[in-house]
Amino acid sequence: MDDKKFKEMDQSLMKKMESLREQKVSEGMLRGFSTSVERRISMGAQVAERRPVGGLLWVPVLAVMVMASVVVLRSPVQDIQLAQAVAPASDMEDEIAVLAELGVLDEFEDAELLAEDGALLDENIELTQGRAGFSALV
Amino acid sequence: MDVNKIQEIELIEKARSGDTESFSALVELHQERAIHAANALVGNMEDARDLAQEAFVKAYENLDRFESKSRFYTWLYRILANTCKDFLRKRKLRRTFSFWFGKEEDESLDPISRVADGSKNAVETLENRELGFAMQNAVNTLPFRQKLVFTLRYIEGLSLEDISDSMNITIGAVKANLWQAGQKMQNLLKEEYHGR
Repeated sequence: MDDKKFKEMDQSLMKKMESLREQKVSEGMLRGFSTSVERRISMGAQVAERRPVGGLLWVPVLAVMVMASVVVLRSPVQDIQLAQAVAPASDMEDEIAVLAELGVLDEFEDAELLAEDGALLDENIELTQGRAGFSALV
Repeated sequence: MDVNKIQEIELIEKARSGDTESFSALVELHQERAIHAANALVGNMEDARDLAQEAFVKAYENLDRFESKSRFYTWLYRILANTCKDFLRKRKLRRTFSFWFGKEEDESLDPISRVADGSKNAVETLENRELGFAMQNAVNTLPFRQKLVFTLRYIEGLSLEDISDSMNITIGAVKANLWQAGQKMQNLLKEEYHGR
């Protein structure tokens, strides 16, 4: 495209499109046009004024939802469940068996541990009995 | 600076401070060309009127963004073009749905029916209407950007500088788009008349 060719085409199309260019919009189309625009603007302003009220209604609802989700996520019940999930009793027994096989934990130590546990259990029983006796005296 | 531009700037300043009467005066200055351009882009006078109103409302809401370096109508054309583009996209979707669900769009309002409103006699009216139809059909086949540039230049009579300003593209780009659109239009019109 050179400038001369463009000018020729431009002039030719300007001439051909003259009738469309000079066509007038009918009076009927123009009547009340600016009034309608004004009405639309004022309606838009009313909607914009109403919008924050609608928006404010959602604020407490959203706040409650956020707080509820935080409470659920930080709940200790879930922590306990997680702890139980990490170390179930059967897994502990398996681990002891593996350690015993490796020689890290021998039968002697195991027996000692069991004895200690037994002693502790006895202590608990005594304490319980003591408490029971005490409560019986009271 | 010409008197019209000074008057326009005053009206815009007043409208910015909330004076709706000043904005109405601006609307009255540009309403005809806005409807005219919208009609050329969407091909329906009723829709064109509605879209022109929508463009004015958007212009009012964004008046703070208008820089007085350019003329108000070039800025308005940009808003109008985007409004029409959205409308055409939605209409295309609507037509696709209508096609699938068997409903037909109301095509009774032909865009060219008013082309010959100012004609002196029936023959002239018929010729103008025929030419208008052919032109409008050819314009409608153009991609939106070319259609817009073509409309602004040959139907609205804007200068190349104003089109460049309105579309935010260089004058070289305006010429390139016009050249491509012009070539397509000439080919389409040749086919139209040789095919008869």
